[in-house]
Amino acid sequence: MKPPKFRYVAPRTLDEAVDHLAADPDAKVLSGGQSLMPLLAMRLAAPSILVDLQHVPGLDGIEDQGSSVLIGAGVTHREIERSDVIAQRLPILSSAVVHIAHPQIRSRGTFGGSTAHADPSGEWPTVLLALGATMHAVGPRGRRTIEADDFFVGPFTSTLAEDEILTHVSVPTTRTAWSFQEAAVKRGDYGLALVAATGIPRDGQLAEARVTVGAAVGSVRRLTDVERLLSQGPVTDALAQEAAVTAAASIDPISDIHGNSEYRRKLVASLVRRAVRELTNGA
Amino acid sequence: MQLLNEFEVALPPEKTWILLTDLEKVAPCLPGASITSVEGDDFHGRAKIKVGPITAEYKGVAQFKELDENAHTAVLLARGKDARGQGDATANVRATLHPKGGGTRVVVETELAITGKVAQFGRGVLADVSGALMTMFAQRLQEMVAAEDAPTRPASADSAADDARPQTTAPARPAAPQASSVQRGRVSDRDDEVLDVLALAGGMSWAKALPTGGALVSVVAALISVFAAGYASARARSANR
Repeated sequence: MKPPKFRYVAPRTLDEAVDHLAADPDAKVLSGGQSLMPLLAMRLAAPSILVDLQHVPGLDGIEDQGSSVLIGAGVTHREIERSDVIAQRLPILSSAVVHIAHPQIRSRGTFGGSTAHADPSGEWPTVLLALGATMHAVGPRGRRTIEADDFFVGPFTSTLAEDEILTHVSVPTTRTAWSFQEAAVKRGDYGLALVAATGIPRDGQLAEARVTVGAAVGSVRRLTDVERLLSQGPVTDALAQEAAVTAAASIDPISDIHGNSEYRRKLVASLVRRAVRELTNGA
Repeated sequence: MQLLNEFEVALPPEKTWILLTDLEKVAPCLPGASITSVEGDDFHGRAKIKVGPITAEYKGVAQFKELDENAHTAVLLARGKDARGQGDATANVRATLHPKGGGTRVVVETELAITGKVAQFGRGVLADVSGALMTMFAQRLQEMVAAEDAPTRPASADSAADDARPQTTAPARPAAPQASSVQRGRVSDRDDEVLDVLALAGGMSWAKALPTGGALVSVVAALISVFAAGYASARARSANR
């Protein structure tokens, strides 16, 4: 398949990139292109102009800032996979990154690109929502930050404006209890269900638990019922089981040829059970 | 594949029936969707869809195969085709209205067939898209009904809750032409021509709407535009109180 006709620019500065986006409502950011290019090839997307960020400086780097790690939007999945800072400070990212497609794709695809793409099956949206990350964006109206809770609002839909560019993501490192679980037919496939759980171990309990689900329910979202449950007692097998039951009851999974609704419900329940059991890891 | 959707309306089945079967009036409530022409029993329409990076334009034809006012059953056959040749979709939709309390429960059964490239894409999302669309559409219709009420009965919004039901069930037919122009104005003022999921969905849990979603949309746009109406009007009404 060939993509529809589009113009292409590769600006050298962020301002220039923003100008291009602001000038054309049908412009689209290209950052790695591992999701966007297939959409173009399938002619599901038809932007008038692609604004390639690969030559824009300042979007790289993984910087340990103490209570958080600042990750540039242009950082590739592969760089995250190989980063010592990530492995030590945000091991949930190291755990999740290997589920993203295949090495070749991880070498091109970017952290910011996937985040802004807001694919409900995306590993990064599920993980960043579970970590309560903060998105940094720049646009014609200046810079602003957006909390993960306010960022992912639907399938392929974030609150980033059409003329804004995601530049960095600030990921807190305080959530030392974590788990990432994914069920896919084959490693590298789109997941049938994704679950991420994080919390802060405190006095033998788990404080500020956040549990998110991706892929199975049509958008990335938190399982607040499960979060509430986790705040009520020490993490035990019994609690994990209860969390699984709660999760299953609180979702309305999608159904398609890859897995019907009931199957996905069971998957999510199993993944939540596993995730909660693993939450003792940071204690 | 088969889809089943249900929603409830605070209007009695007779009023709901009138509202739901007025395709031309209801279709524009889906931003981006419109009935472009009516030839005999055929309603030609189109819908522009935007979900994140995905955009599509669909053209379709819808036709009532069965309109049984006594049994309150409508069967609509719709065919949609993507303007860029991604695929075709055919839907056979049966809607039945059941009285429930003072209102109506609307049951929509859809038999959907999708062909072409869209159907081959690695991920399917049809059921959700239809559900999500119905929800979004309901929102739009809610506003439409609110707009419909405003010029004709300015007091209704402020009147006592007890009065709301009888007032809002006042003649829908006579008010229709005026209401529909009001509503069209509002819709086009606000949403330009494209159904933008971000703008509409807000924080709503939208479906995992990929490609297939797009194909469905054309069909569902036509269908839902008809059948979701009552639900929305019900919501609008309760919002008015």
